[in-house]
Amino acid sequence: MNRTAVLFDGAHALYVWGSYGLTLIAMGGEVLLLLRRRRAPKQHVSPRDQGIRV
Amino acid sequence: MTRRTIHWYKYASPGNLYRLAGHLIPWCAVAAGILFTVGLYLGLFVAPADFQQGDAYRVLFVHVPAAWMGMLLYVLLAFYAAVGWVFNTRVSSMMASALSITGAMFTFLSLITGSLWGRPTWGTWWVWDARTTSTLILLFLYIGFISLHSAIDDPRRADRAAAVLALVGVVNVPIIYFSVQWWSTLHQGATIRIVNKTTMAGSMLAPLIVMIAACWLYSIAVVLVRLRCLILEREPAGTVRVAAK
Repeated sequence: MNRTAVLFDGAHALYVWGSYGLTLIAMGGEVLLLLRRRRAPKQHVSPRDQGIRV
Repeated sequence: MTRRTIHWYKYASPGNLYRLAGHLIPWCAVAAGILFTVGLYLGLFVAPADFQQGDAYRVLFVHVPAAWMGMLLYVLLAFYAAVGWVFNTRVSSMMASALSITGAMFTFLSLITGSLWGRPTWGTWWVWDARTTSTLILLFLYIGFISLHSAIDDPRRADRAAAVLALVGVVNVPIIYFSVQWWSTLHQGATIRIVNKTTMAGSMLAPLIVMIAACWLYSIAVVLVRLRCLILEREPAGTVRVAAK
């Protein structure tokens, strides 16, 4: 069995691919959340503009 | 001959830093993407299987960079939080906030991937040994920093309160690093050494170094994007517009 086959269906495949999959999900999720946040940033509104007396 | 000097202090201005971050982000993101591709190829398809652990050791190529980033980003977070607290520089505190989520994500990943590596090699998902427990404490410190910051409405007060927690918690980082030397633990000792010779084959070391570099560049890119969002959210609208001219 060649190395690629061992990696894809060997005894440790679940642990190896599980680690890489979770890393991809975590990093991809962070990037997606950041892109969403960048598209719609919360605009700074000063307390004075909100009608709050400071 | 004219001497070009870089006026670093000008980047304490949110507007100038916003513009600099905008220039750096694409370069870091592209470089991180290239290095991740190269590192994954070398780590998964070129590096040989370990004679004891077989292919399970390949978890190392994501576990070690995540663990290092978790610790290093916390040191940076504490540094910026301290600078923001002592010198009252808004940008430093914003940088600390921007670092916190990425640092927490990497620490969480190091614990999860460590668990996935521990099952086939140690025979258990988790042990309460010094290295794993101190890393779990680091994750709690990150969560504490983020929660404390979110719990206080006034950003400047939130910055100061979170800075105290960050500075108290930084003592945990050397404990994590030296835990494998100070206590008898199940976790293996350091294989990459600065002073002594590294005890890792070159074919395994190369993908690890590439993955660490990729994680650094990824972190710089996402932290700068988050910093730009924070500047937009916290600074008066004119600040960024004036600087962009």
